[in-house]
Formats: sequence, structure tokens, C-alpha cells
Amino acid sequence: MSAGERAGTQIGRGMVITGGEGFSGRIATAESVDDVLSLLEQGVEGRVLLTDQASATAIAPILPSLTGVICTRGGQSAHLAIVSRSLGLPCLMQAELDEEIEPGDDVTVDPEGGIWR
Amino acid sequence: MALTSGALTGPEIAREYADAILYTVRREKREAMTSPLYDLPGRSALGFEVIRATAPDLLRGLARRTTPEEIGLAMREPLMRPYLLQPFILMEGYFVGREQDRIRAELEGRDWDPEADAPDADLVATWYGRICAAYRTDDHVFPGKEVKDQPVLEQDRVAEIAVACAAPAGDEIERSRQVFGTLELYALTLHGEQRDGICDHGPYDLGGGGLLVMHEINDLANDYLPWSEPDVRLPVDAVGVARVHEPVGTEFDMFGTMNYTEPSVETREHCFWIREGAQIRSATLDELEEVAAAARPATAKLFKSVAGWDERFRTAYGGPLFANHLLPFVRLAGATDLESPFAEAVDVATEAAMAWIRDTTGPVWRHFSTARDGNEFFRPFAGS
Repeated sequence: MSAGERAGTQIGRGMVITGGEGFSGRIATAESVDDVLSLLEQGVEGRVLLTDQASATAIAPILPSLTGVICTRGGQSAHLAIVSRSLGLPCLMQAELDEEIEPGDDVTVDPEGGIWR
Repeated sequence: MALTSGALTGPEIAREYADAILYTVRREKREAMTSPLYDLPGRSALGFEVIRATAPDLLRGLARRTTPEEIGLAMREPLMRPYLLQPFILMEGYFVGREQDRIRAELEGRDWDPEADAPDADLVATWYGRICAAYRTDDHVFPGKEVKDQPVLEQDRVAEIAVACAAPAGDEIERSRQVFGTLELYALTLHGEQRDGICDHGPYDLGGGGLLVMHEINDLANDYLPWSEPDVRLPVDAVGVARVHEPVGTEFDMFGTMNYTEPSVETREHCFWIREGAQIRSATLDELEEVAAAARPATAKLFKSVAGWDERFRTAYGGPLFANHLLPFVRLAGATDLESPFAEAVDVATEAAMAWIRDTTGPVWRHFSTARDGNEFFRPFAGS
């Protein structure tokens, strides 16, 4: 799937903060500091982080290298949104998911904030 | 009606502030903010109590040397610290700390008198109002529901900055974006997930349709926070970018930051600035990229350092974190003799509050979510 191209099934939607052309990548999750450090070691090129933390510092070491972020909480003024906007990192906040997304899933976010798998 | 400067009383300022902060925190859903690295509600509750316990004596010490107006006027410089967030935290800390004290009295079944601390409440509120009014170049006091701007530079300073701006060349927009995104992430990590050091002000009308806004990041060489070891401090104190746009919608908040109200904004011209100590100077983007290059490993080091904190410090760090907002007033006033006593008072207040803060954090956060108006958010006082 190329960035912004809708393919598969829509499984959710959210508020587009940046990435108005859409973005695609493989899902990664990080629920703990150890998960973040592990992702830092592996590298996060091509990865889209799915998170419920609107905090920027929780993922500080990997944030600049991600392909995109999907956050299920927060809004325009959340710290994650602020930094993503500044870095030009594609970011979706307040995402609502109709189905579970697993690490390793390939997803696309379209320009209107629709989430596809 | 928006508060304007003039014959303001402490109770009036506190009331307007309560309404404005309630509006701001509800919009941002602050009560929902969490982090795996920090006990955010606990550290904030602790920080408020430390400010409540230490600010009145500190202000009395400052009053022997300076006035709020002198402080506010001295803040009217680019890349300055203190900026709007520091007086905001002084006010928030004292008055939320005061509410915490009321909630704690309720939990312990004892009486609480809203007039018992009226002299201190009046002192803090009037200092806040007078600093903010002197800081702005118009007759408003602070942004909120009705006031959406934050102009602090004199016109001649604006003109000096505007003349230095030029059309972005090549990939400068993207490079500038990376610099400031990197430094914002550093600032958030250094300040334990608090939006400290990220300062916006303006907009400044240049006439002929141009609008200038300043975006700054300060406190980059912090020497007070216990976790800001020398190897994570950056080589300059602050950096900034002036951006000139065609007329564009902007909205400034009480924290000293800004959002554009339009989804896509073009930068017509820009220029860059650095502060080193008392000196502010024009800078190149290459120089700012060097600062950002130093920030990346520093951010990673700070993250790893925080990851090693014990459970207690994930709350207790709130003491020095909030005190870090009051220290710039001391330094601006040249009151170096107040620094050590203040730092000691912060340590004492932190240790004392850690004994009970977890009992009140939950009720305080519920109060944030459920207070219906300013009078309920901060219990009023009659004042002097």
C-alpha cells in the first residue's frame, strides 16, 4: 500500500494532526520503557507506532525516526501532537478502532484520518 | 469581559485566572494526561504544594529588591526566561495548592478558613497580575477565553527582528522544522513531560499585511534541576525563530504557547536567534542545527536516566520541577542571596508533602474535572 492509498478494510478513524497526504507502515507498540529501548535497538524505520499515551517523552528516543504515530487519546494540544507537528511526523490523535490492531499489521491512514488494513 | 490592567485587586485577579485556567485545562483534557515514565498527577500535586509553601516568602524577599512591574518590563525581550509560563505556575501552584489544603482539611475532618491565608493569596495574585500586565505591550493581562494574543515586544524590537528576516532558501523550512521539533522534544524530556521552555509570543503586525510570530525554546542549559547533569546541558541558553506570514489565524494560551487556527500556514520570511547569557544575537540555521545535534543524544541520555528513577522520585521530582519556574525571577532580580534559602525551602517542602500527597492527589484531580466555575475551582478570598 502506498501512503494515503485506501486498500483493505477501514478499521478506524482519528484526528489528523500532520500527514495530510496520508501515511502507511507496519504497526509497532511500546507499552513500557523496556519496549521503547528494545525498539530503539531494533530500529523503527517504516514503523507506525500505535499508542494510548499522548506523551511525547514516553517515546522520546524513537519518536523522530518513526514513519507515523496513531494515538488513541489526546488532541491537538497534546505533547505528542505538538512535537509531531513540529517534526512533520504523520500523526493521528483520538483514534477510535473498530477492530484490534496487532504489532506487525500493515496499516494505511488516509488523508481524512481513516485507518485501513 | 477580559481583564485589563489598571486598579486590579488580588481577589479580582484570582477570580479571572480561575475562570481562564478552568477553560484552558478543560479544552486540553489535562486531567486525562498520563505517562509510563512519571506519576503526572502526583508530581503536579506535589509541585503545587511546594509553590504554596515557598512562594510567599520568596516574593517578600524579591519585594525588598524589585517590583513586579520591573520584572514584567525586563521580560519584554526575545528568548527571555522567565516568560508567561513562569508567572502562570506561580499562580497555579499557589491557588491549586490552596485548594489541596482545603481538600486535605476535608479528608481529615478539620475546619478550613478561606481567609486564613488571605495576605499570602493577595500577595501572589497581585504579583501575578502586575507582572503579566507589565509584560504585555497592551492593556490586557493574560490570554484566555477572550484574549487570544500575547504581544510582549516593543515596536522597535519587532522592527529590528523583521528587518533581519528573509525568504526561506532551499530546504530551510524543513530544516528549521526539524531543529525546533528536536529541541521541543528535548525540552519536554528535560522538564519531565512539562511544556516548560517552549515559548511563543505575538502576533506582531508589520503593516502591509505581514504578521510576525516568535517561537522560542529556552532553559536549554539548565543548572538547577537535579537530573540536568552537565553532559545533558546544551551549549546555548535559548534559541528562537521569527516567522513572517501573510495574515493568518493564531491563538495564544496561558502557558505561553500558540497554535495556528488554519491547517496550512506558509512562512514568507524567517530569521533565527540565539541567547547566550545576557546576549541575544542573530544566528544562522547551521548554528541552530548544531544545537539540535547536541540535543539528540542529550534527550536519549535523559530518557535513560529517567527510566532508572525509583517509584518515589517519579512523584518527588515535582518539587524541583515546579521550583524551577520561580528561580528565574530570583536570577532576573539579581537576588543571588535568595537562591540557596529558596532551594533549601523547596527540599523541606518536598519532603514534608511526600508524606501525604498521595492521599490527596485523587481528590484534587477529581476537583479539576468536576468544578463547575472559577468560584468553585479556587475558593475566593476577600483579601486586604
